[in-house]
Amino acid sequence: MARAAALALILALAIGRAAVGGAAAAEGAISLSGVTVSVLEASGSVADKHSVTGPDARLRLSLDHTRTLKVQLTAALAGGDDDFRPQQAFLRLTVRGSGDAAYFAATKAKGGGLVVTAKHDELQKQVGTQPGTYDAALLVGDSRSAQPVDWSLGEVKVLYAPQDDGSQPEAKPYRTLDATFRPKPEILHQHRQPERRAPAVVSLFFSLLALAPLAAYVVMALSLGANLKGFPSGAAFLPAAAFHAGLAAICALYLLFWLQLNLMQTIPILAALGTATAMFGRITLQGAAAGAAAKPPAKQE
Amino acid sequence: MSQIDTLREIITSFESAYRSTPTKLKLLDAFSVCALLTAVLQFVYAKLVGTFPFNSFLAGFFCCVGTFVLTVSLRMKVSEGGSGSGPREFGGYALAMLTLFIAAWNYVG
Repeated sequence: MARAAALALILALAIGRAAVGGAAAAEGAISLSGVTVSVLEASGSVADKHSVTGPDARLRLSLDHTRTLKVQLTAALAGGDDDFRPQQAFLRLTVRGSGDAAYFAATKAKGGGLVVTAKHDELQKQVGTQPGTYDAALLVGDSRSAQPVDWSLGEVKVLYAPQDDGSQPEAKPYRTLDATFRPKPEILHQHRQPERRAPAVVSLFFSLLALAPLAAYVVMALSLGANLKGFPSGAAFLPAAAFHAGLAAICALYLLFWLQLNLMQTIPILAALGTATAMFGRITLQGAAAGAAAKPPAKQE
Repeated sequence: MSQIDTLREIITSFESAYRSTPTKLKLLDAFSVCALLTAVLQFVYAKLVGTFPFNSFLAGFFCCVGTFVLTVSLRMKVSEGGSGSGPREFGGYALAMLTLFIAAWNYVG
């Protein structure tokens, strides 16, 4: 159908050029007769019928989505054959406003003459959804005539299938011809939609709530009578303090690892700290185990 | 009624027996309960609010559960070993905890 429309456009241009230049082989003028414009229902019955006699008919037709516009005509060439069949014969429907046009080619009718049928869906294929008023024109041209025929038939009000609320759909103009050569929509990189986050207040509240058991533990430990009296003193104090400091340092290193370091930076530091801590721990714990009377250090970690 | 009485009896005998537990073990019990409570709180948060940083949720939750398990095993070791044991087990416990923590921190992201 797009090809037919393109052909129609080209032919229509050819008509215009022939008119300006004046073909050498031109003999006589084309005359139209028996031009009938009818609107057919889906069943085929005639809803509206007009006879057109001149080039400036002012018909007012209505074409909704179930109807078909039909134009019958007979063309004659002055000084030509009796059985004249023009090379080009079209019905043109031009949208008022956007200027987009749909072309419908004439075919030979059964009982002689020509017939053009403009179906609603074919119209939509050519110009897209454009509800409103269209100008209808009949174009007939032939290389044997210098002057093409351009008859204005009047206006056609085009209606589409109404939407649920009864209104007409929004205009989405396009032509199949244009759509072929129009750039495709740009493909944009799409980021994944961020997940829905809880409000910060809620998360903070739960962070505090999760820390509460630790605080409760400290309180409970104190109430149970935990103390640091068992912490080694004298010569054993230094390794014990170093052991606990090492454990604390490792925990601090973990915090740093979480905040800024990566695993490759962390592991060497951890190895050094771990070795020192293990060494002091061995001394401390051996001392604690050896001193049977001495209580092992209270775990207040 | 008798069932409730039995239950009460069990509780009271448990309480009196637990009172004689060494303070060291009581502290370990308290710590493991706290770890479990923290895990439960995190689970409640995940259920109520959502598991958005799912890896963080898993890390936090399993860190708590792991802490609980390690503390319980330390308690079992210490309670069966008598008053003399403890320091040696504590060394192992500290090592296990540090390993657990670095795995968990690594997973928090």
